[in-house]
Amino acid sequence: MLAVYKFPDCQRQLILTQRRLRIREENLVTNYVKRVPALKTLMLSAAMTVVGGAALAAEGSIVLVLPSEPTSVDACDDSTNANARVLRGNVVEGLTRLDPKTGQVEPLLATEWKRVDDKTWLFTLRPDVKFHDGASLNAEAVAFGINRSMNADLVCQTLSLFKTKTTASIESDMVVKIVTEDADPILPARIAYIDLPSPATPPAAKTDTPIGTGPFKFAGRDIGQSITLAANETYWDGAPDFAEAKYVWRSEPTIRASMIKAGEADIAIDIPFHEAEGLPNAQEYATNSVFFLRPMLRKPPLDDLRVRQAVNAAIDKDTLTEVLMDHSGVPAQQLVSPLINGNIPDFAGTAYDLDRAKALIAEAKAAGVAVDTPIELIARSDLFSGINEVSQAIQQMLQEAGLKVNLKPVDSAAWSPWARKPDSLEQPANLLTVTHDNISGDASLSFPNYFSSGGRLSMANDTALDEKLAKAATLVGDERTAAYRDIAKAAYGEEIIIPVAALQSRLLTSDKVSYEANGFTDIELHLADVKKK
Amino acid sequence: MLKFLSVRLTTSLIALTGVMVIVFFLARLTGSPASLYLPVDATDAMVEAFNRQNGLDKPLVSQFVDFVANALRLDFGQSIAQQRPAATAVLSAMPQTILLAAIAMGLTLLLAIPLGTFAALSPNSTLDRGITLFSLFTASIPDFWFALVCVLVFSVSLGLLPTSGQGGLSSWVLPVATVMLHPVGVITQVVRGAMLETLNAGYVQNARARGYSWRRLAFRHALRNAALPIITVAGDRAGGMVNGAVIVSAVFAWPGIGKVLVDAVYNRDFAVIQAGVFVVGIAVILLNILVDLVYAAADPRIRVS
Repeated sequence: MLAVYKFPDCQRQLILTQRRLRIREENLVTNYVKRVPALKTLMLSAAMTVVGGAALAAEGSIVLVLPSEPTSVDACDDSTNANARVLRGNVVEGLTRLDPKTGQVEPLLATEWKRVDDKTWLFTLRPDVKFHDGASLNAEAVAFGINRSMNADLVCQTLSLFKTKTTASIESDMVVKIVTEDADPILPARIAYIDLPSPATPPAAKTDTPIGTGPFKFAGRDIGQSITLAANETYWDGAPDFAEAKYVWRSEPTIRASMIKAGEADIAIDIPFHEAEGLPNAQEYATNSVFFLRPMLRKPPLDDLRVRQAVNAAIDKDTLTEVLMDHSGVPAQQLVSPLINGNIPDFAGTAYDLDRAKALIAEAKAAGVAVDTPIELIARSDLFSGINEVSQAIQQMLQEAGLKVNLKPVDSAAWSPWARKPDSLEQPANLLTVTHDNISGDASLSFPNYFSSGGRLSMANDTALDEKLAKAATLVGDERTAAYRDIAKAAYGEEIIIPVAALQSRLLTSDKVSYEANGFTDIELHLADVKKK
Repeated sequence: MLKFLSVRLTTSLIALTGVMVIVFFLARLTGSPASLYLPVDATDAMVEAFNRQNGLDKPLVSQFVDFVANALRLDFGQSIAQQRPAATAVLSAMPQTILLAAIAMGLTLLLAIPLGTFAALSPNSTLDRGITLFSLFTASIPDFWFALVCVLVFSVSLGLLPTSGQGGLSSWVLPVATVMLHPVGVITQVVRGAMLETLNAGYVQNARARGYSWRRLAFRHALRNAALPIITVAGDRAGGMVNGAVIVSAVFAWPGIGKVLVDAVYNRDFAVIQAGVFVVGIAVILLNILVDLVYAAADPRIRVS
């Protein structure tokens, strides 16, 4: 064991060279392929130190303290933060994954993919990968996993991410064919959300013992208390650093921070600024989540553009984020982060200007708009820490501009009828508080929901915008980016949504581990990226 | 005795049945679980499938009939959030809750009775003022704040106790202290008040004139006569410990029934709400009967009939 630690750099260099050679070989035989960049390979290879062909065994354990427990441990429910950050990339993996820094699609269990025609894709699988129960990863297993997630009766959380019917079948032993009913140019990115369970998983029922291909095996769960994962020593990308990872749940951020300070945990997420201030092992990171207001566009006074512009101009985002959000947000002018192709670079948005807001309201009133109509500010209390204070401040700011605003705090279940169609269409004039995150790299997972006439959460009713959205969905590359930026510009111009703040978070680590937080950390916390110091 | 118990049990169960019916309908007025468990952009088909799987697609009356039929067999259905029987989810939290409540109440009485008695023995003295100040302080201090400060002091700064969770004996200290906080103050004041009244009674003054020591008088005779209000308040607080202790659950991640119930309400986990109300209701009924029996034991003038 001592010899293993004696020359780690040489070992890593050896692996790096081996991998580079492998990548070069793959480059020679494929055309339409996305690959792991060399830097990524270097990072991944750091987890796998090999001497004479014998893998270094994982040892020791880490404790991660998270705010909430998964509601399901089935791989097909991995689209919610609480579920995904325990399972995704740790226990179960998908064919592809998204780079947290660039949003680009990278190979994972698929080494390459090819678009055969508009609706047909072929994914070539990584060889010699096994599930934790010993089953081999092959086209049959992948087709089973994908089709299981698409089973409407199973009510998988990931299903709603697929707007068109998607079916997988066996093309050959290691090639799986995926067919979509309508063209889906970003299927490789979308398929990253389908984590693949073992073929032994019940096809028509959720499982409470997930089996995947990831660097950790699901070892046990004490409901309400903890989940324990054990290292997969035969992981295809090398055993992880730690032999065991234990997740515990603490809803109180002070307790999460205290557990790090007291040496009881090694990683704690969602830590408020005041708990992390001055600590050397604190990291602040953007979450890709945006807090915004969605005006009820279909009823007065918010059906008038001037009133919506007044709302936007009346909100002092700098004060909100600096004073009330405790460094948990920065002013935002767009729905999506720069990671997403619909983000408009250098978009100025609307500046805070109370006088302009008052003038706009006066102008609307003179034109006969019922600006005195009460507007309900629907403040969902669980969006982020401090939302109640932020909502009260927004209410005050809008009242100062001359609008009549009633604050209505709700929990997530009570928020739903205000948010979702068809109930939302029957509600009185309101401003709905919403947070939205998108890490897919593509605006198709954001814009249709909020900007299209048919969007479940949208109040818009604009045929021209609908046509643009439909067309953008069929485009690829730069054309797609340009189309989504054009849509974003139009939507922001109409104040279909009013962005307020891009949310940020903080993470604490113990002296035992090193981990670099990224934009995905709140959603996917990959244990393979957690290294021993 | 048996007649008393049967009457008490019958009336209590009638009340519990009424509460269960109200809880069944009130819970369903709070919104559909589908909006919580499914993504916001879930399709109608997904919502329908979810409701069908959880029996929420049936008319409310039909759901109620099913609930009653199953509840008679003590089957409260499946927890949506925990994916296990609701009764299991609730009952698994009860032993820890009861043990925590028993330890906390035992220590509370051990502390509050002597403190209240000593305060009553020397009214308006420095000792009395000190004990009164202490009891008012503990009764008034926010338990949430107290719990967090204790964690920062004893766990983070001094490293003496674990911050949270349930492990060895040391993990019980802060939860027990937090649960005791308010009852200690309240019961100390009740003991002091009841003892003051009793110590001023004629028979005590008479005994004192005969040369009995204050200590003997207080702890052998007066305390027993002052017991009824103490038992009443202690019983009430014990009930609160059984179904409450939400702060302890939230701060210390203590696996108690209080947190199970609060989470169930937030999660619209109707089956767990119903099972939780039933189990807590039974616990409170049994506690009340116990309090009645203790009344009779403490005061022979009260008969269990």
